[in-house]
Amino acid sequence: MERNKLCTWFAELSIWSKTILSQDVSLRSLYRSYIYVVSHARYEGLGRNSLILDYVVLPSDADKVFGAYISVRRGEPSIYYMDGVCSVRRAEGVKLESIVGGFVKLWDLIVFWANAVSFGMLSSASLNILASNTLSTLYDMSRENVKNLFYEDSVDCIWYPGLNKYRFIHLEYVLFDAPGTYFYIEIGSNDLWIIRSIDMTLPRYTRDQAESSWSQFEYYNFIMRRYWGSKDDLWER
Amino acid sequence: MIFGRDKKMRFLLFLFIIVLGIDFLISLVDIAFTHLIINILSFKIGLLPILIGLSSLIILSGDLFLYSYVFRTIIFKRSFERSLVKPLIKSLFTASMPIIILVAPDLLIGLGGVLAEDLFIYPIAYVMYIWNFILGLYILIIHPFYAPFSALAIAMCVDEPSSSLSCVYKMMRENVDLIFDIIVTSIAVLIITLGLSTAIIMTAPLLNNTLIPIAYPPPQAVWSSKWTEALDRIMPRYYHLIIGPFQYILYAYIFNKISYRKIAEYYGYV
Repeated sequence: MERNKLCTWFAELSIWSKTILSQDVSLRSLYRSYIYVVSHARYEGLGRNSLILDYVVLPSDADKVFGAYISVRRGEPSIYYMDGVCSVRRAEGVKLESIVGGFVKLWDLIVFWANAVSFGMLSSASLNILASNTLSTLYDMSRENVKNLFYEDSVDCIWYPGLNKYRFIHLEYVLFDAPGTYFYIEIGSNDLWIIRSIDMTLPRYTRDQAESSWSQFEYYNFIMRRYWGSKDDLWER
Repeated sequence: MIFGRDKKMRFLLFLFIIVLGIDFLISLVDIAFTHLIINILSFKIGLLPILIGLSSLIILSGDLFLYSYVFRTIIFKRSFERSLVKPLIKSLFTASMPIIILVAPDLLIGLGGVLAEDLFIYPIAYVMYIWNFILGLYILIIHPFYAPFSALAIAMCVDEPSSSLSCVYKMMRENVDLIFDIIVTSIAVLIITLGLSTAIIMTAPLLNNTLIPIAYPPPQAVWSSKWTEALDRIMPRYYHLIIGPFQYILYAYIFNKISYRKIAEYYGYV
């Protein structure tokens, strides 16, 4: 009972799954990456659970991480829509955007005001507008970005570094769904052409299994607390 | 009047195909290949400025070409023959010089970035975020006026028997009086086409709901989902493709109305 109070993860409806996975994907990828996925579940109330995935990528034979992909597919039908959010917890390496940060901010400001006064309506009726749209798209590509793509039974998260040269990336993926749902997870990284994924199924643990792995979970917390520190050092190089 | 003769019809068709082709290709690169090229661009960061440089050069020079085409056909009422290709390319090259100067750093730094990424990584950042900002300002603010102005000079120069590289600049100097007319026409055409494209988009049903069935993207098939997503987003652009060629014809027509006397007086073309 005391334990339940301390850790929502062990609340009555929250026993889902917990998997610690470390993989060398050299056989499946063009470049070798070490992908480390940790998943754990938490009861959020109102009949919904959250599944939190920590996705860490370290390149092996490439000099940077130039792409990371994770897709979570529901293994069984559900009345709930899939909902989730993917974000970057930490990235280490050369962040070029910080060198010219003022211009990046200025660009954002101009794009914001252009949208606000409906310059977006111009679209491609004229080739110079098409050129500026293309420039804008490519400019956005030069920035680090995380894309969340929502489908009926899956949610994709695609991360790319833009012009930044990172040697380590930690994404956090929070999903909300009904308790007890199976998920199939596809992960991939540093694939040049097509992201060839690795299938990984999150098993559903029993309460006993979950409790017996509690010490492992504490160790995981101890490790990850280093990255979950203050927000200020999120972009520490 | 424009649609009366066969040559004009051919011209319209040609114009339409050119604009449609350029727009379709750029749209594909812009949208369909986004997820594909992001990985490649992130892998070799020098490729990003190269792509920016090349796409800007092609689109903006294409703009000059289309303006010069309509000016020659509608204002000067002369056709394009094969013998004019050489002077046309020469004039187009000279008129495109400001564009070439603007995209040159992208191409050079991009090439350096592909060959020696570690050496060029910081110059790439400066070109990408600062120089391209200037390029963007040129595209949005200066080019809409520069393009028709220089295209008028191109259209005049292709007929010069001894057409030299400096012909375009010479003609531009002589056409200084027409700058005000160019500005007025550009603004008028912008307002008309903007209103028209907005009206079409708001009233016509989306093509993706009527003509081409779009399958629900299966989440496992990354490729197919991205393609259908891309198609889905490209479709509304086809309405702009209707406006696209019309814009050039409208420009030449309005400009002709405004500046008919000046052009006839100066050059005796009409």
